[in-house]
Amino acid sequence: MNKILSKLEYSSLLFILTSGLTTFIWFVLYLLGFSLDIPSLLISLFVGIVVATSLIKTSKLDVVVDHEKFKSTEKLIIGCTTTLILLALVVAVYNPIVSWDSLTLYDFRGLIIAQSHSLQDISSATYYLGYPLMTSLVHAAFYLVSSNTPQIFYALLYACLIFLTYGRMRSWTSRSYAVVTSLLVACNPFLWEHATISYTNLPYSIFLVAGLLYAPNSLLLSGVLIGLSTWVRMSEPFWIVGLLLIAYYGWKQKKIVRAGVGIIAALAIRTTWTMYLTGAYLHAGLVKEAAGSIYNLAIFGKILANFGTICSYLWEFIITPYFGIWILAIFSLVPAYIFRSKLYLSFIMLIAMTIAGTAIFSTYFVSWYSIGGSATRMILFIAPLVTMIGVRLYYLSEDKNGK
Amino acid sequence: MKVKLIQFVPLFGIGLCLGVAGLESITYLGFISAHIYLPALIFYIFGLITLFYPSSLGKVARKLVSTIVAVFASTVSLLYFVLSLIESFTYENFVFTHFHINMKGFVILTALSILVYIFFSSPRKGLAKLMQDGLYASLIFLFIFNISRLTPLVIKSVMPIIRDPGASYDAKMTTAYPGFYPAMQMVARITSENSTIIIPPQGAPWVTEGNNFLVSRFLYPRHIVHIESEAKQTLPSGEVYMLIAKGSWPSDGTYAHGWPKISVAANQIWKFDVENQTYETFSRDYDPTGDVWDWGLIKVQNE
Repeated sequence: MNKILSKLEYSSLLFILTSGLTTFIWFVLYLLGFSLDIPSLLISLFVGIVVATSLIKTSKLDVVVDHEKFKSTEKLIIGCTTTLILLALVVAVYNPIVSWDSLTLYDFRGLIIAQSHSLQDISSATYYLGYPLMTSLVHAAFYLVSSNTPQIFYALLYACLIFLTYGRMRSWTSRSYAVVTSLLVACNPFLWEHATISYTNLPYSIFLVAGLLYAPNSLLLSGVLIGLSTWVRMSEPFWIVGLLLIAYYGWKQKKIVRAGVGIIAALAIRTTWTMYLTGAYLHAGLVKEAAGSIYNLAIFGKILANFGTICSYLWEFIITPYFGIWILAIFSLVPAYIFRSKLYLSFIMLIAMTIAGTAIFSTYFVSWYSIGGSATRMILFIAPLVTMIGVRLYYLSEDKNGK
Repeated sequence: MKVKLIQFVPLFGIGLCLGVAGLESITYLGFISAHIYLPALIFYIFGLITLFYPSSLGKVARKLVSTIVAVFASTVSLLYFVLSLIESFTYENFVFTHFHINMKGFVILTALSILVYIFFSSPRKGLAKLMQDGLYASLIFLFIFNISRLTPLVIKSVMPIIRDPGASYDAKMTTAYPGFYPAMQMVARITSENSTIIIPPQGAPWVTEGNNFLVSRFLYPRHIVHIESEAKQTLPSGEVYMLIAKGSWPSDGTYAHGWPKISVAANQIWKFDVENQTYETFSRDYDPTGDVWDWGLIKVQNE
């Protein structure tokens, strides 16, 4: 079992990178004139696997292989975690796609792409171009090979997240801590739920969190992962934190060029979609007049006027659903300062962006309060991120204070 | 032995923390600030800080208090788990309605009881140890919090599989979208792929059937449109159909149930029986006063 566990992180990283890169390359091939069909999918898959494998091989992943036998409590915890993964797989396969956003957007785009082998039919409405195509292309790939269960992809991503958690925690702490953290991440209700529905939040969170976690190991790998997070969802500004972290490690490790390449890779992925989007909007005559600068005093006035409602929104949709995570984040503050945790600093920046974004959003979107569920989904990434930070800091504190 | 009042500072801390949280659990969040003009958070922070006062309670007394707090924390955690299960299998606020326990307050009481127990029972050796205890308590609470929410979710997701493991795709979709999904299936069977389907306006009571993106999902590549004004009858050309839909959502007062609300010149109309996937056909115009059906279809006479 030790051998299997040590390989799971590599396999999971390969899976998520391949899924992201393959869909991105498939899209680039379409832009170059290829149809979105099985031959171009196979070419993309081949290139995706080669690039993903090279990226992982060139990264200095500090994978730890244990040789000691597992304790019975560890076996029990691994059993519980495995059960949760298996249940997610079964539920994802059994349930058809019924969630509204997926039916009308993510999955529907995949269905159209598989039928028409192009993006022509979805380029006519702004609604269909509201999100980048990553998950829709995954669905299209499933439909092209006559499989009607694209939802299994999300359960596999959930499994990958747990294996990545184990791998990172094992290299940072001990096996027992890694096993416990994996269970803590696996039993997060939001993560489990998103493993069984086809929304974009889980893939987005995995790319973002993996990008942040691997920044100290490989700046290029981290850059690609952060870039791929914007290939799933583009409107959130969280990728900026990832790039800042890459820049920091580049400067600290004196690898400025590598950091630059990582940042360029992330921006290249993001820019490819934004350029396509702009072209599609212009072509379809869908370009709207710019809403004007957000940096004006009127906005601040509105935010101040909305202050009470914004606080209540944050409490109801950002804090209450992740109450356990927030308690852990609060108690991680001092240890994070003591141990100079860059991940915790990233978390603070991500949350600052969330609060600022919510405040600005409240000033121009009339029914902002009624769609609080999307804010809860948007910050799904805090569940694995804070759990890993908290356990790691606890491990470091224990190490420092003595058991 | 002389008993000093200061010995009881940690006990006061425990009482304050759990008392305030308990009070807000059986009333509402904000009860304290509404009556004492200080937010409950102040009391929690103050109470937790007093726990770090180096108490000179005797060993036996300390052990006794520690045991009482441990029993309390375990009971509250178990109760939180059970109440979360009950709430998720009934409806939101079921627990408050029947037991007068406010779950948003009770979760704070659960977290505090664990924190108080860990802080009180652990020997204090400075800030670092204190923070370590805080992290330990938070991790225990995180597990209880997650499990309390995950368990009902998993049970609810797995139960349909156990009940009917071989359910067909159509059966599962009909369970998810009763009425709407079978109606869309029937429309897809009747109409050709290059036809245009006019659907009700988007909004109550046609939130589902008036959503052109959702309808498109089931009728693609048919062209789905709303008409700007029913009275004008600005109909598209070609093979045009109009959906008959009572509206599967409650009305918000803007529109009453039933659509279309005007007479429509028709080649044929279909009255759907979505339960049995059958329909009756009539070769006449559509009359909104007589043809009051849940689901149906009109082949519009537009030439």
